[in-house]
Amino acid sequence: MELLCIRQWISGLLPTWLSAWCIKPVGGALVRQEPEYILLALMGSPLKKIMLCSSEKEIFSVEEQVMVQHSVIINNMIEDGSYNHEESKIPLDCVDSKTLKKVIDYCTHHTHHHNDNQEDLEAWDAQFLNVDSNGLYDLLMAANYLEIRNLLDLIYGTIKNMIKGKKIDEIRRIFNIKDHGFTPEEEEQNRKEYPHFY
Amino acid sequence: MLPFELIIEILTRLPLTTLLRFRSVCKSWNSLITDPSFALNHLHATSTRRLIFTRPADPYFTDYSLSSAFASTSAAATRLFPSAVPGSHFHHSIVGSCNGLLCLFTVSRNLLLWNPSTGKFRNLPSLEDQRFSVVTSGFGYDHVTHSYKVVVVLYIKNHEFDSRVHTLGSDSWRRIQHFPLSSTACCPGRFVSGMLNWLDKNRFIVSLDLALESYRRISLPDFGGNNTDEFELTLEVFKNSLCVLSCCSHFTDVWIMKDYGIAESWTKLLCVPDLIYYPEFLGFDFNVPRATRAICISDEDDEILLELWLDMEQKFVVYNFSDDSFRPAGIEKFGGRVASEVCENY
Repeated sequence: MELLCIRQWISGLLPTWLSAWCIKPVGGALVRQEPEYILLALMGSPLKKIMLCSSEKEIFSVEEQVMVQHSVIINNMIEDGSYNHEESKIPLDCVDSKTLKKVIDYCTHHTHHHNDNQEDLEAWDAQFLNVDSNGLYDLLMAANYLEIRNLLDLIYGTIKNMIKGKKIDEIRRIFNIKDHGFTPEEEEQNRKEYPHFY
Repeated sequence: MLPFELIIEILTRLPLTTLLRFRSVCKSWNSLITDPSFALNHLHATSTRRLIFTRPADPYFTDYSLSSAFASTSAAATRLFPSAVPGSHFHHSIVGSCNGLLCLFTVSRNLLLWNPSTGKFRNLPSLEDQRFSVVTSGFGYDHVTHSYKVVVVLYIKNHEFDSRVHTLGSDSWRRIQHFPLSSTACCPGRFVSGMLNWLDKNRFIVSLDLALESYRRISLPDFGGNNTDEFELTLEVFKNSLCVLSCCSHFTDVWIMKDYGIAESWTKLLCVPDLIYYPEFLGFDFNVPRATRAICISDEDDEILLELWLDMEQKFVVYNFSDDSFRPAGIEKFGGRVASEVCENY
């Protein structure tokens, strides 16, 4: 039978409550999960896992569902078939093991606790981001690389609150700006004109 | 050290006062924050849209936030009084809006720029030549010189129309080439991607490049051989592209020009179906309401706000084109002709 016929046949077999369940969020958009995959999952085959490889060559096994829901990059790799489940692992050369573990943690928690109430999720997020600024930057770069929209928004929000009220000297320290690029005269002029900024 | 593109993302989300302070952090941040294109992106990232209605008799504007206009329950409108604006007890008509600024045309033939968010306004130099009447006008932003420009078209004599341009910051009006219009009936100019556009009856779109200050004609979409004189056409701007709405007695089509200036890129964005299939909207004697105008498309890109007339009564409805349904909008009827403008709000 043609693949299309198989799909239609399987969709016909699914009761409506199950079709409703076959919706997964992908990077903010809703996409219908392939019905034959659901049927296979129901038949008892283990949930598909994928392998992610950190820059330190450590391999992390994670449910495909979880990563595909959050990371646009990983979702695209799986959808366009460039990832072969049997053999390959996804190399993430710009993400170290510690950060990758945290990212996987975030995605897993948000998938499994998707229906929790808003306050609990926010509390978990706040605890999750309770890291030092280096850790925060590593998370930001990883989320940017993997294109995980909700983690990015969360991190940008945290950074915004962190720096909004700070003085210029503190900002320079936070962003590791060693050379501000102003001439000594310009810097002195600024400090004289806006002493409360510093 | 964070890559600069992520720094830009962070800075784009900061409030304006913080940004102004952070110009002193370092030279590269200073150049970024004072760069006009960054400033525009920042404004757009932190703005929401508002819908402003004006009626010929009212000395005020009726203002709705876009989200409440699309909500089903009747929304609370605020009245905007361009107060502290001279002659504000008379009606002002809106020439156009751009980046949160409104250009207004007062009863005494004065033009002014007004920022509804801050209340600040600025009078433009007066138009001399009282003997010529103003046929149409437009307001936009020139990306090349980073300046706001107002255009006014005057009727000189039979088939001759003169145009004057004022650049904000200068102190006079300049004449530019004749406005290639074939009749006096003309709506206000619509600004999109550096060009001001007017409908010339049902034949052409006249487009003014604000940077080059020269006109050209763009053809309208191919309506499929129908007699275009039977349609009522209006120009709108949706999602940064120019759109033409064609309303005839039983349908409303929205055409969008995907690539500006290229007539072949006119695509039919959507067709608002005949309301005869929606009994809850039919009137007395089963009169079918006629959509006269599309006002704007929602932020989520799936709904369009329409003005309908039925049994001489005005209604505002929302048509959802992803699930093909109509519902009433959260806007109270005005009971008469009303002009609308979508304005960014900071």
